[in-house]
Amino acid sequence: MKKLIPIYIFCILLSSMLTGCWNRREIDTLAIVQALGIDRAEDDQVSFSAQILKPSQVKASEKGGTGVWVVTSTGETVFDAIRNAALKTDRKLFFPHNKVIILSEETAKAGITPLLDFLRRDNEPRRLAYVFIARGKAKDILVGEHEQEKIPGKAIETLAKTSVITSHLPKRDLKDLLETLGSKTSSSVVPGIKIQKKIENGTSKEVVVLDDTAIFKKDKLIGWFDHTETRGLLWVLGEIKSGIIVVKSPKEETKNVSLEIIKTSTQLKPEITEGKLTITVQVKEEGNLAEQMSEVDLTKPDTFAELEKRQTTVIKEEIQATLTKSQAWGVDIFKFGEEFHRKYPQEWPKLEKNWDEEFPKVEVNLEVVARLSRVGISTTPMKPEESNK
Amino acid sequence: MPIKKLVDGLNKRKYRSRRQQQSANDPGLNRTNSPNGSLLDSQPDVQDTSQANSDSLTGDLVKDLHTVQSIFEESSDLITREFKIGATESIKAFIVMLNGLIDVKAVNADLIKPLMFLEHDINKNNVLAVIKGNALSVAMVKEGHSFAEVTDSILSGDTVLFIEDSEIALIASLRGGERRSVEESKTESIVRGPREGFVENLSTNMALLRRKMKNPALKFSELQIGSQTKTTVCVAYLKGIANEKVVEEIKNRLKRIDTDSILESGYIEAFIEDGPLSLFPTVGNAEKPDIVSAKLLEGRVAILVDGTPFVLTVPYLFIEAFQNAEDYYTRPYYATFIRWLRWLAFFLTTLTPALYVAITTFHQEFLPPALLVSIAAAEEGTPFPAMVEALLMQTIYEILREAGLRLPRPVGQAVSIVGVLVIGDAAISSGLVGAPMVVVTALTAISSFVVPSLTDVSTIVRFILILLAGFSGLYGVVLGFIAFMTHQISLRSLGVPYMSPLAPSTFSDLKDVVIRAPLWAMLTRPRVIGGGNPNRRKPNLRPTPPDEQKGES
Amino acid sequence: MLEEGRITYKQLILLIFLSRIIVTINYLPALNEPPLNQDVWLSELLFFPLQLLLALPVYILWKRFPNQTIIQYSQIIAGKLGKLAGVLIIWYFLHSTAISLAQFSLFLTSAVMSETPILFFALTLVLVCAYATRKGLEVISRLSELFAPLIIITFISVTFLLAKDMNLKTLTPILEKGVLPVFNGSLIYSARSVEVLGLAMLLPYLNNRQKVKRVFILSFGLISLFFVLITIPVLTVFGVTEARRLTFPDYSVIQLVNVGDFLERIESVHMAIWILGTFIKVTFLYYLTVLGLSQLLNLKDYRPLILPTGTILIPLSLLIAPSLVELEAFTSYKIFVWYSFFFILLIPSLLVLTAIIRKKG
Repeated sequence: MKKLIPIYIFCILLSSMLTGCWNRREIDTLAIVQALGIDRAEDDQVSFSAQILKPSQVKASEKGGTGVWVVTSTGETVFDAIRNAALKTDRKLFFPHNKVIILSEETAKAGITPLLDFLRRDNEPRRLAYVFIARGKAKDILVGEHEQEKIPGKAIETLAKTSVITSHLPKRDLKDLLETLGSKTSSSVVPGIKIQKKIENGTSKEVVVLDDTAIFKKDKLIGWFDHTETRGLLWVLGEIKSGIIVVKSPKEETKNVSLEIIKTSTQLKPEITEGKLTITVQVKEEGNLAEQMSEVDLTKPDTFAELEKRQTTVIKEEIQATLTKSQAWGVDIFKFGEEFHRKYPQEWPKLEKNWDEEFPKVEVNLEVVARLSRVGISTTPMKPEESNK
Repeated sequence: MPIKKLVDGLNKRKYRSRRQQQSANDPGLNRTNSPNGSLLDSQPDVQDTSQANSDSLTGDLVKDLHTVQSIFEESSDLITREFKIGATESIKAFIVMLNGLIDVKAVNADLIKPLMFLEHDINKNNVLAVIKGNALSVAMVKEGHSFAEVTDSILSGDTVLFIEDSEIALIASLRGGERRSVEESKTESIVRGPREGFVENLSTNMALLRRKMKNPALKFSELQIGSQTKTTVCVAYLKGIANEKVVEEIKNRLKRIDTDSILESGYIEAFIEDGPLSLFPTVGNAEKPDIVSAKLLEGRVAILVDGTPFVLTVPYLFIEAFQNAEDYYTRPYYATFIRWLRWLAFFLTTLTPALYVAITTFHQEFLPPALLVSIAAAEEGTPFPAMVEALLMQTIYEILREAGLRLPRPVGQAVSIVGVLVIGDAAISSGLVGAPMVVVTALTAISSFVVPSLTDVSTIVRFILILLAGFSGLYGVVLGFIAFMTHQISLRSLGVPYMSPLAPSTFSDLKDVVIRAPLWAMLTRPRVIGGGNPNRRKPNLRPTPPDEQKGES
Repeated sequence: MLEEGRITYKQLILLIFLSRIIVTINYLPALNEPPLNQDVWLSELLFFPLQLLLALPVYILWKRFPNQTIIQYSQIIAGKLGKLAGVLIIWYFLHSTAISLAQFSLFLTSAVMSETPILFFALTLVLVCAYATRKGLEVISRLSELFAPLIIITFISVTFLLAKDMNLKTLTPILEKGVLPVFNGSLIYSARSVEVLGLAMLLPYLNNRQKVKRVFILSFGLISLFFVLITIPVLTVFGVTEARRLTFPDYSVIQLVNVGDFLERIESVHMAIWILGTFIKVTFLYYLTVLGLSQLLNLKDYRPLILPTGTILIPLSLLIAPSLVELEAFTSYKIFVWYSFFFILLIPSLLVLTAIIRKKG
């Protein structure tokens, strides 16, 4: 045995030369993708765009210059397009830090499931990346800039996160999207994004701005909801975190009052009675008097109650608008199907098959309870002083 | 040639029995029991017995003096003083000693003076008894019967008195000489606790231990090891607490050592340790008596070596590196926190460079985005791949550290500042290494000193892990970690598993590892070491406030 | 000597536990087996009593032969046939080791280091496992004792960190398809437990005879509990449909941990911990193979067998799993259950019957 020791050592040394350098990549050989976009190109090809980080630029102190550049390539499939990008980048595309996925409206209309498969299967792109549908071409969005952030991809990501405070837009990451796409009955919603041209100091800048909500039937884009309709949707889904409800001020009907939404909770209660499907949507909301443009003192009990009533009405209207539209389109974006599944597992298999017809027939009862609790740190509004009364 | 014969005789006499044990079948071996072949030619055993006779003292002072002088030929520190014993009747005598090893004043006052002015009635027959009983005012006196003994004693610092017509010499222990006094230990400095450290002299060290433990159960058992240096080594243990088998085993291992020199306890460690090829030490050392006493009280055995202040303790467990004496003198909360910090620091110092290399080279997806940007920006311009950079920085750091140890003090401060600031900063700005790498190296460097006994271990482990990381990423690091763990777990230190109480987990012992339990809660000795005498404290020692009733107004 | 080490009952429990859960949790095949819906966790709970029942033959055999491993007493019970049983069992151990090795390499190649060839992972792991096997039972059990708390704590923390993403509604409706599919599921999980035979091999080396019942109960109980702990986050975060489509559900779910934007990307920890656990499993099975073989052949020491077995193991694992698809097809419940039950259930039961009939032990 001892005589073989030199041979063992030789073997070990030899094998160390063979080891793991397959997977090794120095950081400066990576093209770190911050945002990616998928478009349709001619002949049904896929056009893929990636926003790539330039680390040294990001670190440089001047603000406002871009720390990224955008590369676009085409291919027969998404992955093919990605590999073709190597013809333009001197580095391999690196996806784990990708923050944003943008699909163009055009491709979405044709069905997004095939496009998402690469993102699901490959271990690099993350499921926590936010998804958007672009009005226009995805690659235009990627080229757009943002004032504050040097990396527009990051900016879009934070845009998604902060947009919840308006509650006009849902926040969807890849995981959520895949979940609803996989469901047999529910339909997906994805926020939209677009480019706005701003003219500043003579130069025109293209700035990224969030837009309306895209509605899907199965995996094809069929339409858009505007802000109010989206809000209605979010009420039912229970995804409202914050927002403003504007009502007309009591006693001064021309002026507006802003009520801030503090807390909400939604419960869905499905019922099947004699073959008829009904669902009760119970929304509880608590808000604040945040701002009033009128000069009436609203902090009295009766005006307060009036405000609460108006708030309730507005919420109901919003939800109703959404319900009507979605039932007209036949898309169950509220996940009613799953609620019925949970409560009535026996009846569900039949219902599931015909859900496209059943859903529009579901009768929806709205029960909204909206309260106001606080008024901020001032009570009566300011009045410009008049001469003594 | 008398010298040669004598020296041969000395050597052979001492070690022949052991040699016979080891090689009963091979008489040839007896001939070459010293590495310095020149001193020993092959000499058959027969001569030894005859030399035994010529080895004893003759009583003829001239001859004996001559013999001594020829043994110590060319030893310019040899002092011989001839004089006459007794104020009236005079018997000739001479003393032999080595300058520098003796306490001259004591020799003058307690040996020479009383002998010279001896009033007692002496003659050739009772001279020994009279001298021993009435004249020598020396506490430690023994008789020497052979030149071997006499030489040994002279070399140890004793003074030997040869008396005319006596075949017995008197050996008086009046040792002195310049030695380092007991001072603060330089390698183990603490804030609270005793500062005394061991010194080079064995008897002083034994005394320091005795002072800590006024207990007759503290046993010291001496041996001499090292054929040329004849170093005295002492095994200390608490009878009744230490495991008898362990003590036996230690003594056997020490007796087995047959080398020519023992210059430091490290030499002994090399010969008795359980894992001679392992990276990890299975024998501990300490420089302070309170630490050694604490270990003795837990049931361990200590080995004191003359000539070094570092005392060995066995068995030694991995966790002992994380336990510091000061932990026990301070309050438990902070001590527990510092313990965790030590574990953290150890992991940091071994793993950080490897993890940095692994993640930035193989697994960039594990970096949070902001960090990735910083590291990418920093590594953008550097010429070397991350692994090479890491190895480079670590090597430079080791060079700096080693140089810092050897620098003369006036230059030391300046150079270390130069090393840190200039080299580090310049390296970054010139684009040779990235700033994160320098940070990692600095962190590693500082953490390596938090657990001082494992500094050398962690350095080697660190290098190996960096290589593994560079070749196969996180996978390699984890496998390396597993391999090291397996090795450590399989180690034993004198029968005790090296990783207890972590690996064969003894829940009750964990209270001194994971946290530092308050003293009144540590009721038992560590089970695997002091299991025979488990209780060291009575329970219910936790202090409570006095009863209200008896109290204050 | 063959094996002089002893294993304490805590160590044995943790060893069995780690070995059983570690590869399963990474692949979580349970999601694609009956019941094919969100009641998976119920199956996993039911697994505990069912497994105890199915482990009964091994327990009875131990009672009759407390000092011998299954290889040894099968020879006593049934002579030549017993030897045949021994050979079959050893083959099963070898096969299981190879399967675990294949699963290990495939995961690392798919999820983390995609360009490295499978051979590299197999080779390096086998080397390290061979080293640990060489050190003996005591070292293996101490290693499992050391690593188990790390693994347990990591997975519990991950469950906590995912709590905010878990949508418990996905677990309803409960028992949608009735109890029978749930029961089927539990049966299938029991089929995968090669550790039952592992117990049959290691019980003679247990330190304390009184604790054997506790070993059975605690180890399977812990396993069952842990399965639930792992499955629930996967189900509730992804939803049933998507969860079933994931190749590595637990890894994917850990990728989603994101607490305060600060604690994210912790799948590196998962990977490291998982390598530790798989190391224990492969070492355990490797050790059982080698020990069994040496007992069968009445050798004095099992050590010389280690490297040769290793050289068989690596090609065998590469043969079994040239791709993930084939591996999954084999380990899927349709084939594997029958195959496994033959070894885990049938052979011990036959041995028990023979022992009773022939009045041995």
